[in-house]
Amino acid sequence: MIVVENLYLDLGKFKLQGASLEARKGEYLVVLGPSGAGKTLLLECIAGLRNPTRGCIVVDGVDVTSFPPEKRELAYVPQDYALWPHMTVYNNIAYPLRCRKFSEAEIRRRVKWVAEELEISHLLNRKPGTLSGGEKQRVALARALVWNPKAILLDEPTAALDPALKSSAWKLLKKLHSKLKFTAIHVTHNLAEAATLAEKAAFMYNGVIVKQGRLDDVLATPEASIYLGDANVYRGKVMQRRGGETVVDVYGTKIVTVADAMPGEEIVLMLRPEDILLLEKPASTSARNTLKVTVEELEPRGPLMLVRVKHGDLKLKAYVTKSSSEHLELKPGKQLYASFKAATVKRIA
Amino acid sequence: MNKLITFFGILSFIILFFLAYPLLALVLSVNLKLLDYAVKSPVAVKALTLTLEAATFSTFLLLFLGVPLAYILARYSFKGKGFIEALIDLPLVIPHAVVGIMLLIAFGPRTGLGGLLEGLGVVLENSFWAIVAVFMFVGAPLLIDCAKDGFASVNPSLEGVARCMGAGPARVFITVSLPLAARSIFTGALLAWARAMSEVGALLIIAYYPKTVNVLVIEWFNTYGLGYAVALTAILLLISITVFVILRALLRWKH
Repeated sequence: MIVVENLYLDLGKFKLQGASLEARKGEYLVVLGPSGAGKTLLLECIAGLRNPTRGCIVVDGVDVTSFPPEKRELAYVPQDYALWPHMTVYNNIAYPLRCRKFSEAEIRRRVKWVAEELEISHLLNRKPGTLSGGEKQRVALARALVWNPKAILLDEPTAALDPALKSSAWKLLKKLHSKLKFTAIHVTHNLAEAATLAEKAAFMYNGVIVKQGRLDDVLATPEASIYLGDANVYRGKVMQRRGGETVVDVYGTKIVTVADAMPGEEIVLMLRPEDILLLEKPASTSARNTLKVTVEELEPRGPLMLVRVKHGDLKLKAYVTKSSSEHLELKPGKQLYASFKAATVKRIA
Repeated sequence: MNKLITFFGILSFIILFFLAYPLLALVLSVNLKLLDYAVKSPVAVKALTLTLEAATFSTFLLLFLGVPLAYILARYSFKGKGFIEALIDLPLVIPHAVVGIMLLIAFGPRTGLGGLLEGLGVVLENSFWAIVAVFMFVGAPLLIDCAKDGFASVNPSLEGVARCMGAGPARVFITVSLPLAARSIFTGALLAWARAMSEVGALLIIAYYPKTVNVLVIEWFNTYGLGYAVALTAILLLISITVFVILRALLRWKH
């Protein structure tokens, strides 16, 4: 478990101004935020590569704030992967094991295991300079996983990959995490990446973690709205696919979409707030999704009103005009129906 | 554009001719009989061996003392860094005879520090150590600057990740920083060695004896005339160029 409390560090352009977060053992925490928010600085402080001026970092109950990086047992994967170009892939992966004085036989066994897990066995004798971006990423992950650290710190690990490779890299990270159950703190500015991977999310803005928790709660913060807009983003599990429609379970609610996906697959959906219709009574329309919802909050958005509604555990954000808001007499606690077409629910990952 | 390139080509030819022709002139003016005399002369062989030994030894000493300094300069910012960098480059602009005089009045046996060194068996006047001191002084900027550039070109995240993977600072330096900067350090060492092989001005002041080959060239020129000096110079040139070519080839092969 990693607890970061009230970190401060000022490097001029980048700063931490009291950043705090918590990642439980085995949890995949994604820190989302715009460029310049201090995400990399936060990871570097946790890794021990920079010393915060205030605050503390606790790993498994031990305050490691004053520990050098090699004593923290935290693997760091920077954005450029930082593979050592003069060593073969094998020696890159074996390096942390050699630092821990493992026997050569044990090193061979572990490198073989992790190389098979990441499907890079055929690359072991190659030098990093001859690898593609996706291969480099796998090698960097193998090097981080092979010695079973207390947590893995991932800094925008897919930023250097092209869009097609990004999605397979997310799948790989997800598969590895569900199998190996490592603790991860992953920073990114990519919403789809966060939605795909996050068991818990945090939003970082201006050197502070403004909110951490469930992704939709995090996205509901004003800071996240400024940066990401008011889009509804959910991760759900595909229940069934029939007749061109896909039914996805999102926080216990069945959402119908036309997105192509296989039953059992976990996918990320996005629904724009302007595509949601709020009704006083259920109406007979072509929309395949109609949910009974309760108004939680109203927020003015220029000429519009952002209405936060809830259906069970599912939270939705919808736009209405101010006159509609008055006509519907919207206020917290009011019960309504939210309706949206299957075609408006887009798959983003 | 073509006219410009033609003009640049003419200028380039002039400078290349200026650099190459003296080499050719030297080779063409060698008297084989005098060359044979020089090769078989015990004094010349001794001077040549001494020069090679002192140049190699001073280069290794410079590596030992200069590489850590280069690493610090490449990796850290601190007050007075600019002054230290200027100090390192100073030997490049000091006239050679002045270097000899400076070393003599700083470390010569009649000085306080020189007296202490003499007590340790290191006499810095007319000795092997005095030659080494001169070679180190003139070669230091070349080696330290090259090594510093080499370390500066190593991405700090390569070192940072090694620390996170469990390596202490010494292990990171030996396994990551040093191998990645090795090419620049090797180039710097090569330049420092070549600079040492060519030094004579400072040696005339602080270490006329034991005679290094360049001092002997001057002595033969003054005593026996140009022919003898040319013969000895040709041997020195051949050895320097051979070593230089072999090391450069080795460097390319390793790269």
